[in-house]
Amino acid sequence: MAHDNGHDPQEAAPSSGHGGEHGHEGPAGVPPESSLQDKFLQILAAVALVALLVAGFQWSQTKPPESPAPHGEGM
Amino acid sequence: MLLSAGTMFYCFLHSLLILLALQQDPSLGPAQTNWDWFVSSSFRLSMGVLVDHLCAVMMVVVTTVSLFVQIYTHGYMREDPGYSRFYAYLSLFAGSMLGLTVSTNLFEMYFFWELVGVCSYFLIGFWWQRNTAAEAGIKAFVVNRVGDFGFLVGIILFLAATAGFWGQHPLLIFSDPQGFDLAGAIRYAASQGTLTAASLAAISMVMFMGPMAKSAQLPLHVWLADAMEGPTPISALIHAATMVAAGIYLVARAYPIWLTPDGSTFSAGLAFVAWVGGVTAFVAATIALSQYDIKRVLAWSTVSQLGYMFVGLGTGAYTAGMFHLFNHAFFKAMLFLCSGAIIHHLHHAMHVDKETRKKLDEVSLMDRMIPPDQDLRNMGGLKQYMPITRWCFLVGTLSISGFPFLSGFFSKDEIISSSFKYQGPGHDILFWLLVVTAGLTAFYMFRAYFLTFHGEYRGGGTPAAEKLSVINLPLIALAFPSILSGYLGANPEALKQLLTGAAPTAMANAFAQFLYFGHAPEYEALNGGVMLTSTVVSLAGIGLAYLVYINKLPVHTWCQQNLKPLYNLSWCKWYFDDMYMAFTQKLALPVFNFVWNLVDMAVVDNVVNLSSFATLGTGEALRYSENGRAQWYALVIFGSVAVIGLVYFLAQPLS
Repeated sequence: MAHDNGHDPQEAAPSSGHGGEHGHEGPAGVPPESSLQDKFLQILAAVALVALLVAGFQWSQTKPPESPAPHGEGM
Repeated sequence: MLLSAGTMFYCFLHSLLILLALQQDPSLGPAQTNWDWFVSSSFRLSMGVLVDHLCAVMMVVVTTVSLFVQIYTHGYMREDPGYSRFYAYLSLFAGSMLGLTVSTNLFEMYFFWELVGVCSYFLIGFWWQRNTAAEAGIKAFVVNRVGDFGFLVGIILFLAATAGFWGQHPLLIFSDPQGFDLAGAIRYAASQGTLTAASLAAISMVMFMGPMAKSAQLPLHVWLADAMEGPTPISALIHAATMVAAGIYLVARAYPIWLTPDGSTFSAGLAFVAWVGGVTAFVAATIALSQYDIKRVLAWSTVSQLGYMFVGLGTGAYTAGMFHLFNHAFFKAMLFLCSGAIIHHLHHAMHVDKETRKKLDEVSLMDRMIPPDQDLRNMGGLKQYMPITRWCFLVGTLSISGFPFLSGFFSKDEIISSSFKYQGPGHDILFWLLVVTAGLTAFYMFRAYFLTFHGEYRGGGTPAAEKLSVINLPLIALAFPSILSGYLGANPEALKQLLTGAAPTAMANAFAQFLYFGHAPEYEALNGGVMLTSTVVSLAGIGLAYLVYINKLPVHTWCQQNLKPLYNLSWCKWYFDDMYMAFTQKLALPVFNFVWNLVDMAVVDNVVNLSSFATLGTGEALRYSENGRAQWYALVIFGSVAVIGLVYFLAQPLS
């Protein structure tokens, strides 16, 4: 079984946590930073954030019922 | 990547539209469609899609976090040879998780439950070349099989107890306008005497083994910290925000099973849920106090916060439990993505100089057993190099600590208030356990924050200045809901009452009005005393972390020297791994060996050998009769007929 602190130094040393070994050229077809794909994803993130904020605002405008019952959380 | 992220963006927009449609017109839900899966004369098993308010909230959580993680992954994994495979797994996971969310019945949910488990296994062991990653994947798989076995047994027991109810209606469905659902089945079985409060509680406890493993609750919590061997986007998506919340979702979705047969929340099943959650929250928080791997600190905090959610559900605060799931998903995903950004940044900084990296590897991996770019002791001072990540991490840290008026404050306070009002067994202890845990949470989260971003940089090389990229844009996007989502569960008038000291009254809020269990939303007045207690304890935790890690108060060293057993208890994670290892090595394996020798070797093998020997002997004996002579065959046939006739004649009774 793996332990939190049971790293095998020889095993873990080369890639140490993320993204495989440093110095890989990466898979074929994956463009470098600041490519068109990066820009597209940045726009996607910005649009998603705006959509999320609009939906959240719309949700927060829920009109309360006229006479809420006072007890029994969620029941 | 474009296909995967684009599809997820479509799902995200669609889930927002569903949520808003249900918010505008609540009568639209629940909407469901069922298709036959297996049909026989005695039962009908279906698969389908159920969309209601609970499902809509969960879909927003799953698609939002999935979308931002997919965007982030492009930056984080671009150098990895398994980039495309990673996106394939991400899409498989997102599909499975959405399938689980829209499941109409327990069997269908179990199907997708297993599928998300398989995705988790694939992704923990994504870098399978490393032994630790492969072992962590196996560990997660095995522990989850234990829980899933309980879940399946619970389903079968429940089905057995309610078998006469379903007829040709789809089995075990969650919601049905005509009442042929879980709640209806329980009422019917109770009226028939096939289900009592005790037997329903027993079934719910067995079934709870599933959520226990999936949501990493004691004693099946041991896999989650090791699951951090997977890439960080996975830690954010699966092991913080979505899959681990599936256990909470199951309990919320099949809530009638955890109630008493007459629908009361004062049941043994829910008390069990509350206590497991409360103890887990506390134990996990104590473990997080001493860990140095930034991802594992966050993993233990996830275990702890999942415990809070179970306490919410267990104490009858259905909405509060789900509200904490909703808020936690955003700020915890963001915290994990921040940790990934830090690791990514330090990884490149430390590789500038190979000698430095070699030295750090030696110290970190051989002595400290943590990869150098994940070790809090190699960080420090990163606020000047990574200002965007720093501010986002601070928002997440404040939110999870329950700092006033951030999202975690509202939901955590609701759960602590519900434990205060709880009338079940040991309610006082449960309440104080949560209050103390709130203080511990604030302390260990700010410990991580101060060690990472303040003081002097202690790692190798010089980190480059952070610039806006696909890695930190998702952090900024998730920071907004981390701040604002709590206000969906708060009424500004109620907050005003609290601040002005007026007598609190129950007031509506958007989240509870949208999501509730039962037939009408009902609200609670804010409890100023409880709110003040938990806030003061949280602030004390932040203050103590400041004194220890900024003002260098030697508390840490003092604890290591004078409270060594307690320190070791935390450092060694309450020895659960050691206990399981001892149990496996000293008890389970010898017993399995004994059974193998006795049953497999002595009985099964000998029976197999004996049957083959008998076949061989019979063949040897009979082969002489197969000589190819027709006269011999005729003789055998007539002889056989004569023997049969003789036996028949002798068997006739004498008259």
